[in-house]
Amino acid sequence: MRPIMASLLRLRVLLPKEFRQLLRDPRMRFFVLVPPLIQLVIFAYAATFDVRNAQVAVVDAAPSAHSRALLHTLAAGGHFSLQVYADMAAARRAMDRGTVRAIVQFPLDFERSRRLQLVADGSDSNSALLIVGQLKQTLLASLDRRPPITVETRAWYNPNLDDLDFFIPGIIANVVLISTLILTAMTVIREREQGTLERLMVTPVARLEFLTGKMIAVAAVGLFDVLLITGVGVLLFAVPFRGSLPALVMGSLLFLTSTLGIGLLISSYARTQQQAMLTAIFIVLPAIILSGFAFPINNMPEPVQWLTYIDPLRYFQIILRDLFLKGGGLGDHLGEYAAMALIGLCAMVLSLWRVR
Amino acid sequence: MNGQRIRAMARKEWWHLLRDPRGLALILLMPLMLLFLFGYAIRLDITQAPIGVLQQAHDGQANALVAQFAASRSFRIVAYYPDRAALGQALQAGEIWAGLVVPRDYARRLARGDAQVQLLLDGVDANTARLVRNYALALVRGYALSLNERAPPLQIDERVWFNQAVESRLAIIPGLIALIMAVIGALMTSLTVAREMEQGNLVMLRTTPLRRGEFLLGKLLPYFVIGMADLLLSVTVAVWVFEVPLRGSLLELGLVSGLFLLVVMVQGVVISIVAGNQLLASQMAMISTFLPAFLLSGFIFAIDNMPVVLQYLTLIVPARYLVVLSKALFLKGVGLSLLWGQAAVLLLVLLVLVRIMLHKANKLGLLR
Repeated sequence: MRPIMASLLRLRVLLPKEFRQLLRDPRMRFFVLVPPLIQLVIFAYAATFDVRNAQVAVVDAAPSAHSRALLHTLAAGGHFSLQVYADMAAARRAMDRGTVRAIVQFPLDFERSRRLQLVADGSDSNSALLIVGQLKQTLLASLDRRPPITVETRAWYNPNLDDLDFFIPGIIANVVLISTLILTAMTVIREREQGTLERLMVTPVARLEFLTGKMIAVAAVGLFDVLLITGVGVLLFAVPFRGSLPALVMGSLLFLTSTLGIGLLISSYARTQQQAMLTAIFIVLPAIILSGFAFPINNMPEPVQWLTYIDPLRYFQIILRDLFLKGGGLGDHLGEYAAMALIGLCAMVLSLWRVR
Repeated sequence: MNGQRIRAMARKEWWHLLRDPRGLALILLMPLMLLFLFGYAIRLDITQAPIGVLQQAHDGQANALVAQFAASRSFRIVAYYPDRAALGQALQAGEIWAGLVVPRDYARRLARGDAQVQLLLDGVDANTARLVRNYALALVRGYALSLNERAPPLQIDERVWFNQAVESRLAIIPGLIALIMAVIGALMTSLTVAREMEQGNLVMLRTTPLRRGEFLLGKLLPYFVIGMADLLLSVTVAVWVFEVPLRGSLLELGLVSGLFLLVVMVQGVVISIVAGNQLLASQMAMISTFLPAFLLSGFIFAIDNMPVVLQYLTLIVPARYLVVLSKALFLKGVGLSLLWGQAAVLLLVLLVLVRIMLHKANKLGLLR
C-alpha cells in the first residue's frame, strides 16, 4: 500500500509541473484553443462537393427564343452564374485559365437540330460530373414539366444533408489526433534533448510515474478540445447531439489511450524532436485520410480497407458520428471501444519495452 | 552577403541533415506516401455505390426501372430486401448507402404519368449522400424522358475536356504536388531556427561575423535542394506509376513549384522564429500550411463552391496558385504564357514573406 501512496504523492507534484510546462507559453494556450475553432469553421464551409454558383460559359452562335428560354432556366436555378463568350475559342481560353468550369454551346443550327453541347473541365473530375449532371437535369426538367416518374428522396439522420452535421465528428477526431499525438511524441524527447530528463532521473520519480504525469496532461488537453468543439458545435452551430455524454467521454478516453500510446511509441524511436515530428506527421496523415472522415471507406480498394482496421481514428469516427447523429449510449460500441483500447495497449507495452 | 559564409552555414545544415538518415528517409518517403494515399487509396467519384432494392411489384415496368440501376456504372445492387424493416436495418448498419423502393402501384401510376419511387439515403455522410442522390435523380430523369414521347426533343452532347475518362486520380495528383510541397517545405524549415534558439547555439553564432541574411540563406539552401528532389520524385511517380499526362512544359512546372517551395520554406522560417521552440513551431506549421493547402486551395474542394468570405480568404493561401498552375501544366497543357498572373502573385507573396522574415530575424541578434 505504501509504495502506491508514495507514487500518487509524487504524481501530485508532477502533474501541476506538466500542466505549467505545457501551458506556460501564452502562444501554446492559444494553440490549444483557437485552431480547433478555426478548423470547425473552415471545415464547415469549405469542405463541400455541392455545386453552388459555378461559373459557366455560354456560347450562343445564333440566339433564339428557345436558347434564351433555356439559358433563363439555367440562370434562375441559382446553381450557376452564366458568362457569355463570343465564340468557342474565347470560352476555351477562359476554361484554360480556370475561370469557368463548364461551357454550354448552342451551335448555329440549334433552331433546326435542337442539339446543344456541354463541356466540363475534367481537371476537377468530381465537380465536372456534378456540374454536367446538374446542367443536364435543369435543362431537361425545363422541357418536361410533369415527368412520368418522380423520385422522392429522404435522407435519414440528416434530412437536409447538412455538411456540418457530418463534419463536426470528423473535426473533433482530427483535432484531438493532431494535437495529442504530436504533443506526446515531442514532449518526452524535449526533456531528453534539453537534459531535464537526467535531472528527473536522480529524483525518486519512477519512469512510469513520469510518463503517467506527461500523458495525463496531454490527455486533459485532448479531452478539453473534444468538449470545446462539441459545445461550440451544439450551441453555436446547432448541430444535434443525440447520444449520451458518458459515452462521448468514454470513447474520447479510449481514443486518447490509443493516440498517447502511439505518441509514446514514436518518442521511443525518435532521437530528436525533428524526427519525432516527421514520424508523427507520417502517421497522422494516413490516419486522417483513411479514417473515412471525408472519403468513404467503402469506396477504397480492398487492401486499403483492411489497412483502416489498424487506424484508431476509424473507430472514434464511427462512435462520434453515431453519438451525434443517430444517438446511443455506453453499451452500443463495445467493439470499437475494445479495438481502440487494444491499439493503445499494444503501443504502450511496446514503447515501455523499448525504453527499458 | 559573403558567399563563403553562406556556404559554410549551408554545409553545416547539410551535415545536420545527413547525420540523421532516418529523418532524411522520412522526408523522401513523405511524397510517396501522399501519392499512394491520394492516388490509390481514396476515390472521389462514386462508382459502384452499394444500394439495396425493395421491389414491392415485380411486373415488367418495375423490373425495367430496377434494371436501369443494375446496368449503371454508378450503382451496384448488393441485395434485394423483402420489406422496409430489412432495408432500414441494412441502411442503419451501413451495408448500403441508399435504398430504392419501387411501390406496388408503380406500373399503374406510370400509365397515368405520375409514378413515384422512393430513395432512402444514409444522410450521415452528407457529401456521399448528395452524390448518390444526384446520380439517381439523373438516371431516373433520363429514363423517364426516354419513356415520354410527348416531351419536346433536346439532344445534349456531353464532353469532358482534359480528362475524357473522368478519373479522379488524374484530377487529384497534379493538385497533390502543391500539398506535398507545402507539407515538406514548411515542416522541414519550421523546426530549424527554433532548434538553434532552443539549444542556445544562436548565442555562439552572435560572436561570429555571420550576418542575418547569410544565416537564413545558408539554412534554406539544403532544404531547398531536398524539396526539389522531392518534387522530381513526385513528378516521376505521377507520370510513370499513376500515368498522369504531363502535357505542359516540365521546365515551367519546375520553375513554379520551386517558387512555391521558396514561399512555404520562408513561411516555415517565419513560424520558426516567431514560435521560438520546436513544439509550438510544429503545431503552428501544421495548422498554417497543411490545413489551408488541403482545404482552401481548390485541391479537392472547389473554391467556387465556398461562401464568398472563404473565397476571399483563399486568396492569401499560396497553395491555391500552385494548384491552378499544376493542373493547367499537367492536364491542360497551357503554361505561364496564359497563367503568368498566378505565378506573379506567388512571387509577390514571396517578396512580402522575405520582408517579414528579415524583420522577425532581427530578434535573433545577428549582425544585420
